[in-house]
Amino acid sequence: MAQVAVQQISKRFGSVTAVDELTWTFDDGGLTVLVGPSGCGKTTLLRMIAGLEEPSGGQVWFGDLDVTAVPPWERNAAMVFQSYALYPHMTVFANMAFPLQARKLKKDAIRRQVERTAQALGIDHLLRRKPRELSGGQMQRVALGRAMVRQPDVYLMDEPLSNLDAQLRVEMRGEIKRLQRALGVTTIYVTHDQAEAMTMADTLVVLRDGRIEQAGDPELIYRQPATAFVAGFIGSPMINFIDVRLDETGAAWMLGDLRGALPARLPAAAAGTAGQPLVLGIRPEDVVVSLEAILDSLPARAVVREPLGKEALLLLAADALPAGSLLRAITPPDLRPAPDETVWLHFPPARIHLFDPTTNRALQSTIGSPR
Amino acid sequence: MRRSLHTLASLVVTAVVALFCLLPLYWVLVTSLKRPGTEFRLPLRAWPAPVSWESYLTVLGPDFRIQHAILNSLLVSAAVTAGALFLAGLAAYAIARLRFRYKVQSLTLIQMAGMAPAIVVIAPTFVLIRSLGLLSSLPGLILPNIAYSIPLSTWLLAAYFANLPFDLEDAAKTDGWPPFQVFLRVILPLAAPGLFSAGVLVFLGSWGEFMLALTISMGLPEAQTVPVAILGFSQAFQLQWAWVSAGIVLSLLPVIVLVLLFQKTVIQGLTAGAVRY
Repeated sequence: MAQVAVQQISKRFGSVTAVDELTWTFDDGGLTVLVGPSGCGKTTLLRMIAGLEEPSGGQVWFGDLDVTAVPPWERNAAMVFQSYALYPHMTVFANMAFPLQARKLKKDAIRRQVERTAQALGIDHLLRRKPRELSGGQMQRVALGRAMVRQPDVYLMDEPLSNLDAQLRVEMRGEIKRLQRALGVTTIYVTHDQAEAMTMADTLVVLRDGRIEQAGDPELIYRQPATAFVAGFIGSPMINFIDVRLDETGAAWMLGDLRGALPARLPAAAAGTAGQPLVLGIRPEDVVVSLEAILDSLPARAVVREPLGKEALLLLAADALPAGSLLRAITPPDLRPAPDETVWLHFPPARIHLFDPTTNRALQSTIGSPR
Repeated sequence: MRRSLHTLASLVVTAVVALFCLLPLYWVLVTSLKRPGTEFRLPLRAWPAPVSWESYLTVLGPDFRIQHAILNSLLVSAAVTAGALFLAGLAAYAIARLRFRYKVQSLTLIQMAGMAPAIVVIAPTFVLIRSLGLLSSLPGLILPNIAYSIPLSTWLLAAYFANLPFDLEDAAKTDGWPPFQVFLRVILPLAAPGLFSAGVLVFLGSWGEFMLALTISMGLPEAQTVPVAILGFSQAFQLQWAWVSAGIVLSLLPVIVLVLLFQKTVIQGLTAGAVRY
């Protein structure tokens, strides 16, 4: 086990910069999830830590060892691939024994080790099969087993669940997290699925254009997105963004006739000058929907109602919004507006996020919204 | 109805092609079983009566000893196949999988080397082999044949390697295996069908190769391969088609056996799931 860190690491492919002078120290023994849209550099970063990609600049550290120039076969990193990358010409046993053979272990030690790992993963009855005789879920377990059969400094997982069906994926999320806890090996997990990222991460690192957009505790990131990008990427259904203005006092935002208080913790001066445009963000579950007119509310029309069982997703249009743009709101299942019925939306001041439209950064975090 | 018509049509086409290929072979077989001097006796029969083994005894006998030439051919072809596949395999691996400058150009260059007709390079090859002191020896035949076989097999193997998933290599590297071991343990086994097809082409090419074999052997039986030995039948005495035919039939047998053998292992490799991606 070791603390894995990257320092000012960069990777350029021709004129494209995939990773841009990124510095981060991964929790020793923790599960760090790298998340971001495709092309954000998360897989490239992972491959540089594995040694499969040579950095254009910067260093990779395993503990107090600079491994930047160490080839992948001499680094002690175990990687799980999206395609599983099982060796098709070898049995499951041979696949799992392969990394141990590279370490020149004795035959019976290899056998013991493989059998123990296979048992822990519930694949001991598959050891004599070839990969093509396995189901997707079984292949996934073998791929995990091949990584877990040895004691690496770090596990690197590149979207390991994206080829599984939805139900199996949820099941494996929990399983990987449980195994990771039990083994206590530093794990870096790459995904583009924000739900997977939220549920699995001890530490969440949101990447964009090869840089860290925000990093930290996943729930804190959810509650206090540092930028509009993070707010939009983390959370499903997606957060609502509404263009508003600061009113003449500088102490409230305006949308048409509607005025709303700034979050209590935001000093009036932080918002900027009167009349300045702002982007208001509010998560669908934070929008209060009422069938009757209430104070400080925006009239809107229910366009579509999507029942989700324990709740429903309402898609809403409002005259104060640009034509064609719809707001999302999560409502209790018993709130059932008729199609095109007028409803009133309230945005609780404690729950709104305000972003500067030029920098896309949050004006100030809306800390302390109790959940 | 339509389906059976389709089946019938494909059967007819296959039969015609097979006949076209096999008829000369059949004619050779029939000729080899006739008594020397009766090859063209009329009327032509579908099967010689009586069957005569005289030509076989002659070409295997002390005058010709074709078994010696067959052994030479086997040695040369096996060595050429092994050498060419190994070298072409390494080159193809580099071209298909590694990143380096002038990659495309290097493949083009290798291809260009293969485009020169054999007659153009035969004289320089002779001079080269002579200065190496390898005339009239099997190594003198093996080395240039390897060189001649590399362009085609590199091209075939590079195409094959390029289709293998990159993740497998990366996985093997992170599993702790250095590149050459990855090549031996992961890439080569997965490329078995590709290696086989390239290997068959190289083997057959060098088995039937005539011009270089004639030049390098310098007429000495120690370094004669089958095609050169069979040519000798027509020079030593008068031309006896029955002898020539018997020699051809004998020289075909090891090739047929080898192809059947390897075909089996390759089919096994396929069913073992070597290339399911």
